[in-house]
Amino acid sequence: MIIDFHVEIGNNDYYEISFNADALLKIMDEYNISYSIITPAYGTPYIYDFDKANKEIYLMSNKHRKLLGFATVNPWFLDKSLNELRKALKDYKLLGVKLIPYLQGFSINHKMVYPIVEYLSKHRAILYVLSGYHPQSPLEIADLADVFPEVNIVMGFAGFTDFWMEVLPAMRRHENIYADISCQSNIRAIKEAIKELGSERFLFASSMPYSDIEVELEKIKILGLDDYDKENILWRNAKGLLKLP
Amino acid sequence: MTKRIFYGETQRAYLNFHRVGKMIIDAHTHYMHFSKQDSVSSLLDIESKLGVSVIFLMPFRALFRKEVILDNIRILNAAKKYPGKIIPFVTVDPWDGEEAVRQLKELIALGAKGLKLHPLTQGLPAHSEIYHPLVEVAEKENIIVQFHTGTPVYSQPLQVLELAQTYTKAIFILAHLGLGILWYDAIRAVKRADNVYVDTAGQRFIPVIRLAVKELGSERVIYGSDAPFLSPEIELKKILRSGLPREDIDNILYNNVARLLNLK
Repeated sequence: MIIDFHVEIGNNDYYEISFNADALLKIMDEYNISYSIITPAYGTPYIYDFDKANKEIYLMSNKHRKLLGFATVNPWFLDKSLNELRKALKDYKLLGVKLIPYLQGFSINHKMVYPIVEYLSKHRAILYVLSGYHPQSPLEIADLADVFPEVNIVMGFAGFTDFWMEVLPAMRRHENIYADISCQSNIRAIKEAIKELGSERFLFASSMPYSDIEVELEKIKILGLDDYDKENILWRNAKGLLKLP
Repeated sequence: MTKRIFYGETQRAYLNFHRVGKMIIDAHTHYMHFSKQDSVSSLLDIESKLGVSVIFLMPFRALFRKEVILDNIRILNAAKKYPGKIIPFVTVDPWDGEEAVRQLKELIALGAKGLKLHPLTQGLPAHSEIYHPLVEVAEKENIIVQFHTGTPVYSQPLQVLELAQTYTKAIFILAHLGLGILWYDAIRAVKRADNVYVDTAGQRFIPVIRLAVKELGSERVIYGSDAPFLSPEIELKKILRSGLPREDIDNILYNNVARLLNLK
């Protein structure tokens, strides 16, 4: 079994790439992926078009049981983003919210994000944040995790490039931080982090179309974990986090 | 509206280079010694299993201004021990001034074919005048200059472009294609100067590699793995799974560096 914790669906004009649900479902069949978390494609959905994007995510996840949706909202829109969040979690039954602070224009630990996270806390939904450079470095995410210890926060890309160096300190002090290891090529660092913290808070993701399913599965192979740890990362941790049956 | 690539179909054309017997050059590896496993011979073993026959081997400790001479000599010795398989790159401590220039000339006399510079660890911006005398030697001696790029504040592609526009006869490689947030600058730098190339080592996003080829053509995009710091299995797979046409992949994996080395 595999649960893919991060995929983007839609047209991505910044990286000039697009991906759709049919292509994803084909890949899921081919690689035995039981569930994939789908999120809107990088671009206007994160900036101002989140209501339209969340509805599309809802329609796809509602149609295909294997696709689990995460919404996005932009905290700059204040009440509008809280209303949209209410709709996304209550009506659309989406399981969490994804933020890309770098694209959306705020530091992840800025207090303007708090109302969103308070709402997630009330509804026990997950916060997924792409991590890497400022304004979304792992220690900035950890600063938010410190204010909301009851909210589970997943750091997408596990620090991305050089910010793997903050992943371990962030996770060491904050039990509510998880990391998806897609797009983090420093396998030595991931291995050391798993050795110190255990495998329970690391998650497999393909991050298609940025990365590739074969590339990310190859990484799991190279990590050389025992079966229990491998299963934790491939699906068990995600299953628990998402409260799947 | 720009034309987008559709992910999902192109990736099916996964090429197996072992089967077709094409050659591969890895233009970015380091001499690292955390453990016995990371010795040059095990690095060459792993690379050879992947079909890589030649590597650019660069220092590691010397980039942190430690064991500069020793680290460089290890590289030159490895190149002698495995003839035809290793293109030796060296570095010096730019803060050593005239002494650094003297060391670089000596290392070139001993066989160094490239100069590796790492502004982040060496502690100065890429376009700093402190680097100029070293780049001048590289240009005069016709060796390649490879710069680490992608980590602000010191390793910005457009800072390297400043140098490339001053030393127009030197060949510059921007390592990592600008990494996560400076990849567009890397593409712009190559576009603005004929003597600038990029390597793909550690570039996490496959669409960025595709975009570089789309904007620049595949002639100035070079495969590198950053092994053993990063995993060559992963880095190579990114190129093979990029969905790029066969001719572009051949250029990235072999032709471009072969052409550069023949010029030398």
